[in-house]
Amino acid sequence: MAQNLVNALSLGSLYALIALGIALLFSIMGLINFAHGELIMIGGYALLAFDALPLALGVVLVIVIVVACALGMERIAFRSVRQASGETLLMTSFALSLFIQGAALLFEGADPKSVDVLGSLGASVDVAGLSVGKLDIAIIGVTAALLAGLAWFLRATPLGVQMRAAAEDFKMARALGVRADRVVAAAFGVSGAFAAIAAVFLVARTGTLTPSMGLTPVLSGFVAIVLGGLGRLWAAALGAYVLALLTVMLQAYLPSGVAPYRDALVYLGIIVILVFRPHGIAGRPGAVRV
Amino acid sequence: MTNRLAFALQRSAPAISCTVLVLAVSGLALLGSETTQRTATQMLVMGVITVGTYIFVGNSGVLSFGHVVFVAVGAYATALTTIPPNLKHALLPALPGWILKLNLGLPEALLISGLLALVVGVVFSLLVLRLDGMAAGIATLALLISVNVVIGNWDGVTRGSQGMVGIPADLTIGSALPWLIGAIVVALAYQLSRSGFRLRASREDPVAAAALGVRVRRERSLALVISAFVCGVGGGLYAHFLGALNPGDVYLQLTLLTLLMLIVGGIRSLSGAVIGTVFISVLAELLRRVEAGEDLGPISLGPHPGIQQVILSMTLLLTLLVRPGGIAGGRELGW
Repeated sequence: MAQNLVNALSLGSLYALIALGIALLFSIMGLINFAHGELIMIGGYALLAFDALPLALGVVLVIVIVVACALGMERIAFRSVRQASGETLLMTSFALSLFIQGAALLFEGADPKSVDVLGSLGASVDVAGLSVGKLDIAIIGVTAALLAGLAWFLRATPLGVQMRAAAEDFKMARALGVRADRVVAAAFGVSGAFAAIAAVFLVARTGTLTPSMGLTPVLSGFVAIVLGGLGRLWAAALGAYVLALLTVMLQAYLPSGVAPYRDALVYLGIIVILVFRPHGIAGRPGAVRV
Repeated sequence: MTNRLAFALQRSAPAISCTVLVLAVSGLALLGSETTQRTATQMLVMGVITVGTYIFVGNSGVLSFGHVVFVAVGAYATALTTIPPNLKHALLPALPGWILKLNLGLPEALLISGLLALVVGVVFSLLVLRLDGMAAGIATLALLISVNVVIGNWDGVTRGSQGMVGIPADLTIGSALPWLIGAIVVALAYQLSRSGFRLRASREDPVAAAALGVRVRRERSLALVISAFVCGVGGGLYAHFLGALNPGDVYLQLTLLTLLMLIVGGIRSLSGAVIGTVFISVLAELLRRVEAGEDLGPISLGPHPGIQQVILSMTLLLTLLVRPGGIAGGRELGW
């Protein structure tokens, strides 16, 4: 039981990193970014490319590259459709995601590649009678630090405050002098940094790279956001931990005949939640505007 | 009298033009090699699926990632009813006896598949039609994933990830064409019906339409159910085009292709759906040849896996950025 809780906490931290990266953009510009998964994929391949460097330096370079890609994405693909409807934004990100995947296919091939970033993190330590992987400790710790950092950034820095204002009411914030381009670019940058760190942990957990590896994590991120509540950051993180707990518990306690259908149950649960709470568990319904 | 005839002709102009377009492209393909004919058959099958998706997405303006669910239901239903009984006995011994004995012809099987998809459409409409915009997008995607997980694991009926084999792969241009024309006629008939007009009014402005007495959810349900039927038929055709069916055949790749055709062609008109299907099919075939490294006239190229996906998704991106209305831009073909 306690072992399952640790697993859920570690998985939930990974989900939270991914979900926050997506939720940040959603709350500011209403964009559901499919291409977030491809940022994670790019991070994975970048990690492989810097395999020879010391891990810390490699991770920094990965973050720089992924943030640059996220900013490029915003400039090239999303800036010109920013005013468009949510559906158009969604399709744009879908197209972008497939474009990057195709490019990765073209340059890296479809065969999975393996990376070993674990090194000494592969070992486990004893914590109060439990055998806990050092990687799990790293994931949980780093995520907690990042969440705290993000909270501080959003509360205490001018850019963070502007981002919160934009998330509240983008038009009003612009009218009050918030520069839209800067805020949106900053959000993409932060989102990219989260994607890069999620990529490092994801690859450390699975050890394999494929051009389509971004899809599953990004779907989990969506689910976490919907579970938590659309448009609220802390709720997205909460949703991530709830989703992880649900996944781990279903894995552990579902009868073996039903176990293969676990994901079907999780996603059906999402639909049911959306039907009864279209704005998520903790979301706020917006007023109908005529 | 002549006035009424002229009016009827005017109204059915999109269907006639679309049919002529499809007939012309298929006719050209009949002159080509066997591979070209097979590509044209695939185009016709995709046409049924995109036109089916258009009936709901185009008229309601609600984006659906879930229409491949109906395609999947239709494909597996057609497979189960048309695989020869002795082969079915060997492949799927756990099926109930009456399904094992079934051995339908393609038209009956397609209609039954369509009806089954329609029933699934009713369930679908109860689940997701309360939502719109982003929530609808995510819910329909969640439904697609759930159904795919079930298909991938229900070994007794779908053979799970092993896939269905032995489906008669007998679809040709000639046998697929009538179904596409039928789908076009159904789509136009719905579009010209009262429900079609009301639904498009709600697409333009849901609040105003509701204020004028349009019951948005009812019109959406009707469109969804018709749409599901056509997509189910398309799925059956797809199964007979492929001859073997894996869970991956009716998943994200197909969803993308359908949306690609719809958006590049123009999601807001029937002509757009048909033009998009033809355009993307021709483009995809050219790219497939590049990918396989075949010679394209004087240009010779090495194999490049991935290039098809890159160029198709770039086409979609450029459409969204430069011409959001698609090729047709919401207009219908006519004269």
